[in-house]
Amino acid sequence: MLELKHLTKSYPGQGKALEEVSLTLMPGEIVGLLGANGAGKTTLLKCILGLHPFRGEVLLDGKPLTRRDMGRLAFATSEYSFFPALTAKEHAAFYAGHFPAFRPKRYRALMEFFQLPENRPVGKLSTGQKNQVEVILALSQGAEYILMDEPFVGSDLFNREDFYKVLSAILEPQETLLLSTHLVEEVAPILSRAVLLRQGKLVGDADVLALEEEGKDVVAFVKEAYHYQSDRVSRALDLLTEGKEDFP
Amino acid sequence: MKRRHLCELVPPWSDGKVQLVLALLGLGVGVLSSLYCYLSQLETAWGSLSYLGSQGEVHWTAMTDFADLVGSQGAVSNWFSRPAFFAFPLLMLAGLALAGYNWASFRRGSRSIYLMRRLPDRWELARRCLTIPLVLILGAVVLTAALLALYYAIYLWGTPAQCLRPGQLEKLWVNFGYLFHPFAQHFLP
Repeated sequence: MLELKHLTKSYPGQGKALEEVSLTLMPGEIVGLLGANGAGKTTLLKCILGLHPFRGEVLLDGKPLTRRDMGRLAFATSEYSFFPALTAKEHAAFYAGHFPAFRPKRYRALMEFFQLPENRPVGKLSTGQKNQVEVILALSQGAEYILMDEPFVGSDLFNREDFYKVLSAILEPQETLLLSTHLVEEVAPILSRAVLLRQGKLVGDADVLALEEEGKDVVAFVKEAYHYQSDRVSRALDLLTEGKEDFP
Repeated sequence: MKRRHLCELVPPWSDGKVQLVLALLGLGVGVLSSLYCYLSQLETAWGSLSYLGSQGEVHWTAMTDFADLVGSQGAVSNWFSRPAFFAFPLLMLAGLALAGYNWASFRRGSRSIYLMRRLPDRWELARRCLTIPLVLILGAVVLTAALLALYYAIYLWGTPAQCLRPGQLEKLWVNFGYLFHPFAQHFLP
């Protein structure tokens, strides 16, 4: 169980990027971390991983998360955390050397599924292929909690759909996925839970099955929590087209 | 302590052998240049220790101070005229620059620094960034001390006793400040 307690993060001169965020991730959940750009999704993930200093607590199975436990958390980011000059094969060896739970079988299966070249420097691959390698390494690390930050940015639709299929098919019951993305409609079918951030605050946390029982879906939940005004486009168009143009 | 391969002591894409060979080569060139500079200074100083008088008698003069021979007196300007140890501060700076370069390289082309910072072994990043630079910096410090001792031993061994001026080590110690701080003449006696 991964618990975040009152996580607060401030950037000098920019105010609070996260404010009192508390959240518990249970084993086996596929959680969508949703929100507009600048809502604090990336900051939250980086705080969990200890990449940013913050106030509050991150607990793993009830104990403060330490560096030794870090192997239980994996991270895939659209900024890429691989070594550009190394091949995928060399990355696998590096991961195997540092993460005892590394899963070579899963790594090989995913590399084969995406038909990725193993002996080419990762930095020389296409954007879609780089995303794939980044995610494959995170999934193969053998971590219980897999954090992904916009892992499909720059990937085409087919590429993304392949990933959604893979994610929903290969994750095991003890593996938890925290997926930060703004592609709400696309990821909605694989989510078991949706967590919503807005201006650094947690503004929604819903179980997808419960939403469905209420006759709602994730997209409707997000729009509701964000107070989305569905008529705003028509109002804007009305303003643009009505009357003569005159300056005040 | 776990024995590590050289490739585990540099950034994962770097060739550890190349970094180490370059560091050792730098230290080697530093030693050779230092030896050449010091021994040529010493030879000149020894050569002017005696002269023949009008009746053929030998006159002895005072030997140049050791501190002046190693080029510490007068700080930076003297390093160029008597650069017995000039290479070593440069090698230390090169070590610092290499450490910075290694560190920055984990942010080039990707943010592999994120991976390094979440490895269970908290020393992995520091080990890969700092090992070879430390070899260079510590090597330069140790060689400076060793060569200084060697040069002083040669100085004492080869200089006739009647030419030696007293207080050589004290002068060296005072001038040590000049060696590392170009403005030290304002503060030191």
